[in-house]
Amino acid sequence: MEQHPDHKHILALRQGDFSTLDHIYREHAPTITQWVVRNSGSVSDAQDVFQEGIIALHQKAQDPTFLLTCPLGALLFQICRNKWFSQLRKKNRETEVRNAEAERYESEGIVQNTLEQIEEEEIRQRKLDQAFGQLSELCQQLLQLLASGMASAEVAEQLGMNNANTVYRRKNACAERWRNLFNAQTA
Amino acid sequence: MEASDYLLIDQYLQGELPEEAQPAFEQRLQDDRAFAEALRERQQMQNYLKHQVQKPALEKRMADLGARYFQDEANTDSADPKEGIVVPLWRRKPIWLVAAAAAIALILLVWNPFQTSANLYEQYALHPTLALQERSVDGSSLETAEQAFNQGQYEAAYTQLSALEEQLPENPQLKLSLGIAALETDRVQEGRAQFEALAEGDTALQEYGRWYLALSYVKTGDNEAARPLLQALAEQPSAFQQQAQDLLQQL
Repeated sequence: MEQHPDHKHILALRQGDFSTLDHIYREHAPTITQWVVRNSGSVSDAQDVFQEGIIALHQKAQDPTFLLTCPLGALLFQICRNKWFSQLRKKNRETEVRNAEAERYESEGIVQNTLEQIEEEEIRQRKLDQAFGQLSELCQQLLQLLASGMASAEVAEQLGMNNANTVYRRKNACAERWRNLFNAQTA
Repeated sequence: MEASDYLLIDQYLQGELPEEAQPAFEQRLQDDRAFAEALRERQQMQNYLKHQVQKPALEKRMADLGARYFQDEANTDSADPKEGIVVPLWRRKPIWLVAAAAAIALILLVWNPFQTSANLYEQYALHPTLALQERSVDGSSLETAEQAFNQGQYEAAYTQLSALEEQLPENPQLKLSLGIAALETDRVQEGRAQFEALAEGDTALQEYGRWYLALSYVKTGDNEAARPLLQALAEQPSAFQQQAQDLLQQL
């Protein structure tokens, strides 16, 4: 499957280059606002689901194996649409959901496929987040500092550990504990 | 899994695995399921952590952009420029202003490529709204033409706009709306003639002529004729660049 030209936005998000968002907002915010407003929402509801959609894209963008093969706008629209539906359901506004569902969207196979990957990643990261919250303060700091790109020696100094070796051992133990917490949750 | 295995995985994820160790690493991923699974888990943890590390900056950027692109109508006079481009009609025909003191604006609504569709043409053929603002002329045929066009009654719009064409033969907005009405009523050749005139002209609606010309070929299933037109649109920044790129992907 060939990568879509919009994959450049995914790469930018991965690198934390958020200037790419200007384009994404300019191109896609009006469409999504229009749709949410047409489906019993407000402009601020539209802003909320749009932000959640961007966060979901950013989560998946961290996966180096992820390749965008469909237009970003179509994907973002489907993400936001599902989010808005689930909100309407939560508020028990079944009639509105039914009305909105009546508008059938035949989404392209590729978009649907990618949408599923995005939603899977969201669920996984939510679970990872819950498990992460149960780790010790030290583990959390250690993992975060390393993920931010800080060198092991520096992390050792900051957290009062002997050396980079200790950092590595602790990191491994923390990751292992995190993994167990995560698996216990999904089991 | 040994501690040394995780060291390898860590190095790999950081992009610090020595080049000479790469082939053995890849081979082991093939042969050792537990090892591949451990890599996948660590990769997912790293994805989560990277997202978390960048999240504060991301949220700040989104707050700034949100204020700009999500405005309630109540507190904004100047909506996002993409919201609607107003092209004054008859700009090239000041004589009309004198004659009828009418202003017509063609509001080009935001394109929504996600409408339900049975085929590509319908998916992309979301027509601009024609807005005729009468000042002093009663019972103008402009008004009826506008209504018919905006309500999607293209047969009626076609008749009305054709009548207007005699008075305003060179008006680009009229050409566009007449072309669309013709296309929608299966007068494809006639529609194309209007779009071609626009595409070859030098008016503000030149891009619209090109886009609709391409769409007319999509409508008749003549994708090969549509393709070069879309490619030209896809290469240059314009209101249609993105749509053209997307449509090309789907042809």
